[in-house]
Parts: sequence; C-alpha cells; structure tokens
Amino acid sequence: MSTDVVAPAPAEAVEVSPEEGGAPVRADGPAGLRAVARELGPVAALTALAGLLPVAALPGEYVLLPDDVPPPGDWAQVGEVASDTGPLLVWRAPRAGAARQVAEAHDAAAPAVADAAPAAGEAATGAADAAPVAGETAATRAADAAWRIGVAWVRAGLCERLTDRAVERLRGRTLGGTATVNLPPVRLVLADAALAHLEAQALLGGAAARDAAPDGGASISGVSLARVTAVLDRSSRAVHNLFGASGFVDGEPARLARTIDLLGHAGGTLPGGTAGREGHDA
Amino acid sequence: MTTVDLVALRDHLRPVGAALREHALAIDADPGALHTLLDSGVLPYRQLGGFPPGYLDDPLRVRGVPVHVRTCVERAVVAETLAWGDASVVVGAPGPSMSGIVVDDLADDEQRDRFYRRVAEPRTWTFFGLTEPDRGSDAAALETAVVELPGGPDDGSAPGHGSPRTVLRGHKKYVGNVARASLGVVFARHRPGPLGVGVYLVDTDRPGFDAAPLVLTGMRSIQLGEVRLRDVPLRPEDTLGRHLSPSRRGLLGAVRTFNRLRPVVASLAVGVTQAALDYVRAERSSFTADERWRLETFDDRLHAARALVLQAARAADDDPADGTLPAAAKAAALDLAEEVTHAVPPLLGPGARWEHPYLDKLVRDVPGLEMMEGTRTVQRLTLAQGWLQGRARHAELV
Repeated sequence: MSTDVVAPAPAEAVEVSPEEGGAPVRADGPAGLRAVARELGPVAALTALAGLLPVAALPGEYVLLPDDVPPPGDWAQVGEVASDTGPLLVWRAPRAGAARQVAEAHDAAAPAVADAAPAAGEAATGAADAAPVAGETAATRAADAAWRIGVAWVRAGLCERLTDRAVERLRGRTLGGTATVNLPPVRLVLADAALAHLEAQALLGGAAARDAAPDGGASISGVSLARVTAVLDRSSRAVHNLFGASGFVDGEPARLARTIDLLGHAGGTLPGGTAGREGHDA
Repeated sequence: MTTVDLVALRDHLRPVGAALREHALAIDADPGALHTLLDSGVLPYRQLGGFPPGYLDDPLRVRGVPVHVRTCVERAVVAETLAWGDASVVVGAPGPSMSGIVVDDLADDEQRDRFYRRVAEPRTWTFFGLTEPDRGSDAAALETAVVELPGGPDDGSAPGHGSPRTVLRGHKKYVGNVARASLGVVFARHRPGPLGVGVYLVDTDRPGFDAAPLVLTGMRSIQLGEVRLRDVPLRPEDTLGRHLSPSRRGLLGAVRTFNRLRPVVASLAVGVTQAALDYVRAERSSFTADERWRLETFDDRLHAARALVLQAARAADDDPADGTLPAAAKAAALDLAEEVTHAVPPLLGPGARWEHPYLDKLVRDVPGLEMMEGTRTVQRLTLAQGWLQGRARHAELV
C-alpha cells in the first residue's frame, strides 16, 4: 500500500481581504499560503486556506479557523487562540457516529486526494494496523490530509514571519556593543531556522517524494508531514526564545509563536491511531 | 554543604506540591487567585523563603530537624517538589526570593536586618530590578542611573539639608512581583566602566517608584512587571556592599546570585517535567511499545537531569563564583522540559491542549523558565567557557 498523499491540487486563485485592508490577497495554491502567512499572518492565511480547500478534520479532531470562516456541520467550538492578527476559534469535529453526515459532504469536496489518503495515516505513525474510525471515509481522510498539508504551508509561512519579527527586533538591540543579530549564537539560531524553512518547503513541495517516485509525481507522505511539523516546531521555539522576556508577555511575538505551536498540535501529523488508543501495558 | 535529609524534605513537601496542583489552573486563569491559595494556608511560603535563623519563630521542621532552606541544594529540592504542582507559585510567592540571595552576598549587617525584618512580615513580596526594556539583561550596558541632583530643600531622604539629592532614574522591565513588592534591589550605574554598576536596596513606597504588572503567557503567578524610576530618592545606606571593595559588589554580586539561582530554575524544570510524565501516566493506563520506549527514555533523562541539577546546586553552594555546572544544569533541564511538555499532549489525543488545560499550562510555563537567569544559549556559552578553562570536567554524578 502506498504511503504517499498526493499534494492538494492547486485550486483556482482565491481572493482574500487582508486584516489590514487594502488590495485583496491572492493565494494561487497551497504553496501560496506560505507567502500570505508570512506577510499577513495567520488570520489571512487560514482564510485563504479555507478558500482553497474545504475545512476538514477527522471525527473528534480539531481545526483553528478565523471567526468569519464557518466550520462544517455541527462542529463544537472548544476554545479561542489570540493570534498576532486576530482571534482564531478552535473547533472540534463531531465524534465518530455524529460525523457521518459531515464526511459525506466532504466526499464530494476533495476528490483529488481521495485515493492516496488512507495510507498516509499509517505512514505518519508507523502504525500499519491503524483502522479507520467509524464515520471516516476515504474521502474524509483525504480532505483531512489535504487540510493538514495546507495548515503546514501556513505554519511554514508563519515561522518565517516569526523569524522576520525576531530579526527586526534584534537589529535594534545591542549586547556588549554588538548588534544582537550579529552575535554568533543568534546567527546560529537564524541559520537553523533558515534550514528548517527550506526543508519544510522542499518536503511540502513534494521534492523528496518526486525524486523517489518512479513516475516523478508530486506527493507528500505522512512521514514527510511529520518531519515538516517537527522541524517547524523546533525552529519556531528556538526563534521564539530569541525574543527573551519580551516574547513571554502577551504581545505579538508570543501570540504568533503560540499560534504556530497550536496549529501544529491540531494538525501537524496525519492521524495514525496510536494516540489515545490502547496498546501494550505500560 | 547541607546536612538536611533531602529525601525526607521531598517527602515532607510532596503534599504541598499536590495542593499547588489543585490551585494551578485557577491561578493561571487569574493571578489574583494566588491570594486564595495563600489564604488556604497550604503553602508555608515564609518557612520556605530562605530566611536566616532568627527571623522566623517557626522554621520548617523535617523529622524534627529545622530546615531554613538557605542552601542552593535545599532550595533546589524545595523548588522541584513544589513545581510538580505549580512552578509559577514557587517564584511568585511572597518572600526574600532573588533579592534575598543578593542581600546575603552583599549587604552589611544593618542592611540585612532591614531587609529580612521587613520581608518577614506576612505577604511581603520583593523584586529584583536588573532587566531593562532596551538593554535586556545586558548588565554592563545598564541605562538606569544614580543621579546627583543639585542641592536645595530636600525631602529628608538625603543625608543633610542643602546637600545634593541622590536619586534613581530609569526604567526596568520584566521584573517579577514588582507591582506588589514592598522592597527589593535595583541595579543602576553610578559611573562609567565595568565597576560602575551598583546594587541598591529600595522601598517601593518611595516617591517616583511607579510599577505596573504585565500580562504574561504563562507562569502567571510571577506577575512580571515594569517599573519607572522617576528620581526615586536614595540614601547612602541603600547601597549594598558599601563595606566591600568595588570589585566585590555590583555586577559581581549579580553573577554570584545568578549562579546560585540557576540550579533552582533548573530544578523547577525538573519538577515540571516530572509533572508532565506523571500526568500522562495518570490519564492513560497503557501505551504502545514505541510510546513506552519514549516515556522510559524521558524517565532516564529526567533522572540524569535531576542528578546534574543537584550536583550543580552543591557546586554553587561550594563556590558561587563558578557558574559552569549551574549553566549545564539549566541547559539540560530546560532542553528536557521543553521536549517533554510538547511530547506528552499528543499522547492524550489530538485535542489534548484543550482537553487537558494543565498540560497546556506546562507548555506555556516552560518559556518562562527559559528566560530566568539567562537563556539556554547563554548557558551553553558559559558551559563551554568553563569547560575550556578546565572546570566541570571531573564532576561526579551519583
């Protein structure tokens, strides 16, 4: 069984009004979300994502959405995250059983990823015996996978945004007479962040799978998505630390870092079924 | 070196840690709920504050032995045990806190008595005013200054009528507890050069002392704040270390304080890590082989970190001028705390950060530990420098 997920097919360009007003923003496909996230932040990027793909999650799982993007069906709001550009609402998809109706609605929405999605969950965790939860369909899982990959693109852009903010701040500060941004330890963090951003792009763009696949088709495996999540997690935490105490008070850097963190928690890997399920006795 | 039975001390304080856990989420939601905890009497904050003998009538007694929590080792054990419940309360509770350590190092007898008599009063917070908004913790570049104003009618705070008035002028930020503190220490420059920074004991009710709390993303009990010092009057007796040579006071005092505090911060991280691992095991009874392997690896690393932290605390007690092992302890403990607090929520399902708010609190608290007493980057630089100079190469961790 294949372990690849076909990358979300680029949809027609969508127009999104940025929070700050001005000209509408065009996201020409999932990869374009990265630039929207970097330049305009999480609210605009997730709005753009919802314009590209149907909002999707497996039964009982979570998404973060701007307040003007409605979730499907009878999803429950379970929280709110204050991002640097506005609030995001945390929604939980109906649990198994209650989700069948929503799943059917998604069946028609994301056919491009339907065939390959079931294997992705297995690849994400290595759990070859992961069985679909009741209420899941192949198309539901495909839509969910596509959404997660879109979120990963958003996170990639947000990590760059956080890094840009850190550099702006550190250019204006000095330590021992040296601009903080020029201190070797800071530069190492920035270099690692840059490497993480490049690796995330390459993996999300399907470069690894394209090289490996006999037919050269672009695809993203669950393993790749988990790797993207891991490198962005590590990068964003390291960059967040560059803000020092100023990143620990409730301001824009802290809100942006927390948004990156929670987006990863909600959709950073494709589900494989180990979490919360019974296994060997501990 | 301490003669306290550390195992007994842990056992004695374990119920206190459990009680802190019960209040943790309420305080996270509203730092004002700390008062409810203090009212409850479950936190013997005065006994744990590190007062010298003579300032408390009823010191902590562990198996009949009085424990004053004065050594770094004792502080580390206390901090770890209580952090299992809520690390932020350990830092945010009333008491001598960081100021007590710098007072211990630098104050003369009169200053020490003035400080501890005041802090011994119930619900008295202190502050440690070093960090500045434009300078961070770059102590050598402090802008807060001791200023001599022209003579004239003074307010009684200067040594004599007509003499110049000495005042503090500047802006400190990210200072724990400052908006509710009664007194504390302020680092300020009195002349150029590396020896030109002094430490001053300041009461917060003096004119010109204007403090306000900041909203935090975690560790909310510590109530970081900022303070504007608008010509706050200084008296000669406020200068800590006035009886010491210039090379022994000022920034050197801060360095020694930080070296003693880093193992304590590291122990808070150990406590948080233990809390996260215990929490997930309480919420899930079984794990896959892979998950079990990961948890056991975390257990091993936690034991190693705890040993390193204790050794660093002993080293700080022996020679507070050497920050090598304290730096190693903080870096190792924070690495682990960050990794574990992020690794544990997914074990409880995709929405664990919302379904288990205590875990989310732990995730948000750890960056607060990161910023205390220097980030891990700084610790690594300190460790490398110390190691290159031959220190910490032969540490024995048993």
